[in-house]
Amino acid sequence: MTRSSLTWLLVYLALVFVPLLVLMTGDLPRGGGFWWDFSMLLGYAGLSMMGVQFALTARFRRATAPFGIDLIYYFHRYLAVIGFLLILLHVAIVAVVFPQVGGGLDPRSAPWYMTAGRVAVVLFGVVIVSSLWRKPLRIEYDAWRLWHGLLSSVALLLSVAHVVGSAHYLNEPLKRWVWMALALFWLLLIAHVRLVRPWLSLRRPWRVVEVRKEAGRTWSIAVEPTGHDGMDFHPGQFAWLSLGRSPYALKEHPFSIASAPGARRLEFAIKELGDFTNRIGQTPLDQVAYVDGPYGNFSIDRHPRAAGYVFIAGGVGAAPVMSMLRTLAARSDTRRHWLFYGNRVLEIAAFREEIQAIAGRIRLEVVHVLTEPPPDWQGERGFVDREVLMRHLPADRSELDYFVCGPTPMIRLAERSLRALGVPLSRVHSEIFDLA
Amino acid sequence: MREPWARRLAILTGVLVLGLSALIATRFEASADAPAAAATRPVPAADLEQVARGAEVFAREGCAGCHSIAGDGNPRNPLDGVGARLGADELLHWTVGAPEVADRMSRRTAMMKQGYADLGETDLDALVAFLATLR
Repeated sequence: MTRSSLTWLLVYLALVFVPLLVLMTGDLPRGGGFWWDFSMLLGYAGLSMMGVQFALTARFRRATAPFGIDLIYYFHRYLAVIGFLLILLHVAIVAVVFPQVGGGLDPRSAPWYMTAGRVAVVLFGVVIVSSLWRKPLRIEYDAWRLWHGLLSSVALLLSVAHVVGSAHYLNEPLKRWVWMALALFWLLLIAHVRLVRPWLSLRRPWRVVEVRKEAGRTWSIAVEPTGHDGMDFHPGQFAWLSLGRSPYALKEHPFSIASAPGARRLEFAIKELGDFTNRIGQTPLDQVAYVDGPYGNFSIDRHPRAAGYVFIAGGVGAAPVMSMLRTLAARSDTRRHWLFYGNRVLEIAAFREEIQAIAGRIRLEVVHVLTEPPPDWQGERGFVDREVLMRHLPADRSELDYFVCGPTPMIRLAERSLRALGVPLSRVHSEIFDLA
Repeated sequence: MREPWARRLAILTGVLVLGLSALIATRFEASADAPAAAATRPVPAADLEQVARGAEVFAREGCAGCHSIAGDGNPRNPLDGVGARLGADELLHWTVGAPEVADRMSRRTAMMKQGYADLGETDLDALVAFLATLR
């Protein structure tokens, strides 16, 4: 664990726990018995955990870089569920042990802050259910994204109102100020993500300069900066791309950058996989684009001292790997590298010719692994598993760094196989693709 | 392979929050190990109707949101025995956050209580009569 990741971990713990510990300072209000105080504290803690979600998803590059923003989003998903469970426990204890406190469900007779709290719980519940089961519920990504942000912001505001309205623990100015400052911090985060960041994007527009069809239902979309000097990134990173829409519309999608750094032009490789990407080939030239990035720590440049790199890619996972291969080629890297490229058939392997050309310029061994090979196929078949890896990798394979990118089952299999081959986990890098 | 760590950290956070909340809860002085049943003063028959009305006002106004009687309601501010500690005038003062007692509660509480002055004399008298029975 690096120092910066430890620092940010401590910041995270402080954001969750300091608000709770503040309640213990100074004059304590009169207690209400264990279950009462326990329940109230869970409510406070649940709220501060929900507030932390807004910090996690605000895409602060410095705070997310040590972990990889993909992992931060993954963590966000988990932590939100746990925070919500704590809030439900808070509600359940009051409902069961102190049934008369709530003042009834009817918003006309219940105190406003109780109604605010109840609506907040329902909204948080809606946000969580619609996120965990977005696909089975057939909620379209863009609509989900919009409502996810809106509903969770409203729920947070209502929760703050609930606390302020009913707060018995905030009996001293210091405690009140800390919690007010915290609430203000969350509000500023929302404003930052919804207003400031889109505004910054708006000042750095890009335009689409090429739409190129690749093999395997993949498109290369190239953009160039308009009136600014573009973006610096590490090969393998990704960015949120928004095509033809105002950045305020939040119609942006995360895509891996496939080009090598150092050029003004930025290329994304996008596979037709969903509502938005199925129409990606119809993107008109000169259309305005906005790029929020770079993000992610899936990059050879974070592990520059490796004896060589092994790329294991499948399907859409080829995009970041292409960026890294193109970079190695541009740098005329002299180390030995391997690419295990999983596809159904050779014909749908995107960038196949270019990869072959790169293999002619640097020491890159390309191993195509096909699940449905033609009868005369001489190469590897099946999945990228232990046997396939063992046949091609050298004995000193623990000195290499491994980059695995593709569908989740492929990543899992590759990770298991590498572990079985004695490769330390710290050398195996992967990216979680399914952020939504 | 980073996901299990993220999962563990999230679960650890939840467990720590549960533990810390439980720990802090034990630090608060419990004022609310409430008696199983409130001892009530025998009520003269003539007042019965008024006391019953007072109990209705108590329920209607959601007093249990902040107060408990015999363990029912918000345990932070139990009213058990309040009728023995306070006279009728004081009960009224505390109910409506009157100037005589307003500096003994937070400003917010006083403002909230002052709203109950709008209940009107009949309801307030009934409420006080009801509170006086809590001995």
